[in-house]
Amino acid sequence: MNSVIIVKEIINTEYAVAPEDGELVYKKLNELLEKETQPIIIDFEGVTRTTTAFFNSSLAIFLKDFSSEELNSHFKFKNLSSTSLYMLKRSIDMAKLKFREGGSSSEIIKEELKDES
Amino acid sequence: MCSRDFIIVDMPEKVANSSSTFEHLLATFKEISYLEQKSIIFDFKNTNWFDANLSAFLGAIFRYLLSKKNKVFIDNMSESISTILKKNNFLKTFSLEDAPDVYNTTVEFRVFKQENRTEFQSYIDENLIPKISISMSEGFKSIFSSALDEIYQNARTHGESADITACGQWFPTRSIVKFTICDIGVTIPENVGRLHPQYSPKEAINWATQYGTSTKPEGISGGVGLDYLKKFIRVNGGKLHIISGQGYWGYDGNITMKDLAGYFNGTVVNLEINLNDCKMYACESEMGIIDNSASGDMMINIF
Repeated sequence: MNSVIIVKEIINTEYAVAPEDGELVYKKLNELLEKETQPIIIDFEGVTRTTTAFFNSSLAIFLKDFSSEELNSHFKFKNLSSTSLYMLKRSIDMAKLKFREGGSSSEIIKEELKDES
Repeated sequence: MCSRDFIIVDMPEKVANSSSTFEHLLATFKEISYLEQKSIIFDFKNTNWFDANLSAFLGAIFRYLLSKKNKVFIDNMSESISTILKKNNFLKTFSLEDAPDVYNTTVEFRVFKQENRTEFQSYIDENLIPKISISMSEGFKSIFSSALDEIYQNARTHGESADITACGQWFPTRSIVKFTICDIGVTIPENVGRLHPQYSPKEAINWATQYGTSTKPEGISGGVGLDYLKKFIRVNGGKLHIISGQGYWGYDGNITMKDLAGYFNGTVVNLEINLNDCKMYACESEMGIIDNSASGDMMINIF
């Protein structure tokens, strides 16, 4: 039986925007990770807005200690809107840069500047 | 400016979204920021134009002065400017009367406390987004709104600001919406300077506007708010200004940077959106990715 966490119930608001609320979700997931063997379902039902600030401190931070493969086996997502998925992907991309490539985002910045010129 | 029992601050002829206005206001702020328990009069006798979104900037200065036990007054304000600042709730916030916004052109002046995590999002959705009458998909509106919220979250957490002020104005005849978010707290050059002491104030702001950069603590990656807004502004033909510490950074497709003579111990993010823009805005996630939110299907392999 999978554990399910309802994000809205943890943060007590439909706006998953503040980093402190992300930390609440991170703590809950971290507790569950220690005891669960089955994937944990993260349910975004009722969440209407998200920011990368929220995802940075709730989910992308796990990339500091786990590989993408491990996290894909630990977490499944439900009721994640397309815009929240966009935010989460951006957050994950930035975390990969930070944690996997020596803490530097210089490569992407160079690409961005190339785009602008 | 003179001093006896009170201090008079002369406001410039035009309070507009321009580097000369910001330079004037920063120079003024530098002179008065040390004052405590004084009566300070902001004299508008020379002022014939006021971009209402800059109420957020002026409001942040007022609140800073009030926190130092000063009294703040407004004098010689023209009827037209006074009417705008009544409509957008600015004067009411400082215990002066308000006026009805008959033409619904204002984005209300609002003060947010640092501990308020979510109210800004509904403020944006209800007050600003409806004024931006360009063609945007629901997904794009949502991401645009979240990008602004990222700026607010930065002000709360990076700026360590007790108050964050915001205000906007729709100018129907010029087809522009202007919006400003302002905080008084730790500046961008201060935050960036801890990681990159070699950067001048303007360079520090430029660094902060780039994708993925962050001065957040170890383990937390950066945000995308400024980067997203910058990309939007480039396509939209609008403008983005940031003033923080002594740094000024402007963007209208090209970057303009200056280190100013004045100093503002906080950050102003100032956005101008061009409504004469016929493009249709949508986000990548609406193109080809199935939205599972409606079906409730499980999504896997996100990392």
